[in-house]
Amino acid sequence: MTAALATDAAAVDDLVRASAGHMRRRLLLDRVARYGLLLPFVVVFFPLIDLLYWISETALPTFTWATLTQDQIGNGGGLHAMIIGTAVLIALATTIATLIGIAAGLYTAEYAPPAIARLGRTAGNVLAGVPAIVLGFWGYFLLVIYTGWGYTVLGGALTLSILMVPFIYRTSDLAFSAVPASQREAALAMGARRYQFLGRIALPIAIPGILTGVILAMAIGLGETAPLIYTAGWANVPLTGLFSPTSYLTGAIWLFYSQPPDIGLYALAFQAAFVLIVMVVAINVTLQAVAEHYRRRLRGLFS
Amino acid sequence: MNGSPIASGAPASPPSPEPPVVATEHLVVRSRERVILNDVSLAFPDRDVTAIIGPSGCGKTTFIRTLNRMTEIGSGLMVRGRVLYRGQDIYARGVNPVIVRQRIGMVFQRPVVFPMSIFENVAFGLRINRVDEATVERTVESCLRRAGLWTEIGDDLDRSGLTLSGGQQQRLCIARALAVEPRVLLMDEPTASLDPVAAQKVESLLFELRQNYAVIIVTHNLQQAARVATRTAFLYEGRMIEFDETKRLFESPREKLTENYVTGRFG
Ligand SMILES: Nc1ncnc2c1ncn2[C@@H]1O[C@H](COP(=O)(O)OP(=O)(O)OP(=O)(O)O)[C@@H](O)[C@H]1O
Ligand SMILES: [Mg+2]
Repeated sequence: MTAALATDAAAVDDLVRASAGHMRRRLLLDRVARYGLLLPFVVVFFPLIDLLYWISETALPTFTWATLTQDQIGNGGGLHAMIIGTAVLIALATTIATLIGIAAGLYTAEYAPPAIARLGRTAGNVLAGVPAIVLGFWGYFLLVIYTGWGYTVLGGALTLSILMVPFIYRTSDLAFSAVPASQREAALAMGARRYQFLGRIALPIAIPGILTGVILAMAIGLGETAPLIYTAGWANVPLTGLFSPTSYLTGAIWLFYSQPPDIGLYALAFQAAFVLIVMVVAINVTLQAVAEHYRRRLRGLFS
Repeated sequence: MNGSPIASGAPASPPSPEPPVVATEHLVVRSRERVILNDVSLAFPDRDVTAIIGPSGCGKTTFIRTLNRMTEIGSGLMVRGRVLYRGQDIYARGVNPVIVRQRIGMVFQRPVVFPMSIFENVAFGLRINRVDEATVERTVESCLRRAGLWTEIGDDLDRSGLTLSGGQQQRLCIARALAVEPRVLLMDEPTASLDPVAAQKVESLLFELRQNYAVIIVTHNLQQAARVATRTAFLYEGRMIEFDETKRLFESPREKLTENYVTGRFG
């Protein structure tokens, strides 16, 4: 329109052409990143999707209400006793592992001398790496034989809780360690005692992190068979108390999948797997929501 | 530096009618490597604002933190000499630092809001002392009023304290400190992280607070010291160089070091 807006050829060359060259390189890098990283992403989730498909294919055609409400009899029946068994085992084990894990994490982050804290962290990692079958055997000798209990829900839950505890312990330790030092200072400057700071300020700040560990531990605990085989025993009817043996969903998979495909037990193995996955998803979604609720209250704290 | 030698011993503080509420006597604070505060003797009058000024690293923060035994918390510093609260040595055997900190409150440079509601933030000091609910509610309101926050957020007390603006957060911290009814309020550069308008609000709050509390404020802002403080102490390299009425300290300092600092020749 006016002279002031006339374009300067040198400027065009300088800005536009240089930008174009820059853009080409950028676009290329962007594409490489976008599609190059998509592949590993798919690789992570493909097995899960295929797995769900594969399980559903066998589990769902014969899945009825009775699958959930009947006990297993002969070559058929349902998963009733096993669902109750798994629910009680995981509830007990989670309660025990969470209480111990949080307390030990708090001790490590807050009270332990540095050398002890280092030792505790290493021990936690080692415990997390102990094969489940070894834990199961150890549980058998300690909680089945030595105590004279025989196969019991309690023995199974205790063994399972030892498998779960390192995950909760490590995340609790990290969560308590991440509480800003300024929060402690301010609380103590108010005349708070240390336990008051820990209970009223540090714990609420640490809860989302702790819950992450609980979610992970529950997912792992739900999927384990080995710690239970030698400790919880097996029973076709629902458990009657802490000292009765019990069946459980992973046990059903382990026992029944090797049956001939034409009898009901084979399908029951897949149905057990299906129910288990639904439980894992439900627990995950619920606890994530709880963690998010707490996280929202902390918005602005770490900035 | 061409100045008079640093005065040794305890410079006389200006006479004040009341006995001091807080005083230090030959206070020495040292780290493993070196002496951070060297023989500081100061007396702070009740119901008044006293400023502490001095170049960065001279020991201002260290000094006020020794006044309510915050130095003890993981700092690794050693404290010698005496810190008196109404004549009683707060470092003496049998004195609980928790109680000291309830009498001598503290406000930090960056506001530290607890991750809870506005109401619970102010109530914190009362809750930990198991004060009954009616008193808590009354106190929260009166402290928010005194901190100049009631008109701004009085109808929104369930909101998270973390959602407040920086200036509001600092006044929330002041309200929270007031709730446990301290006699003394220590403030370490309370307006340094605030914008001028928010800083102005905190500053005018100081004029209210001086009616009821002894306020000891560290500041880098000499104009601020001149506006709010009746008396000002000048610290330099861990030593107390001069302590006088603010006007005198700024207009006719006795020490060359003070003069250089207040006229902006160093620091
Ligand atoms: N815990 C500690 N251990 C060792 N040295 C310390 C410790 N705390 C403070 N110091 C040192 O003591 C000196 C005084 O620090 P202080 O924080 O009191 O200074 P300041 O006057 O508040 O400075 P600023 O104006 O920058 O805040 C500094 O040299 C600092 O490095
Ligand atoms: Mg400082």
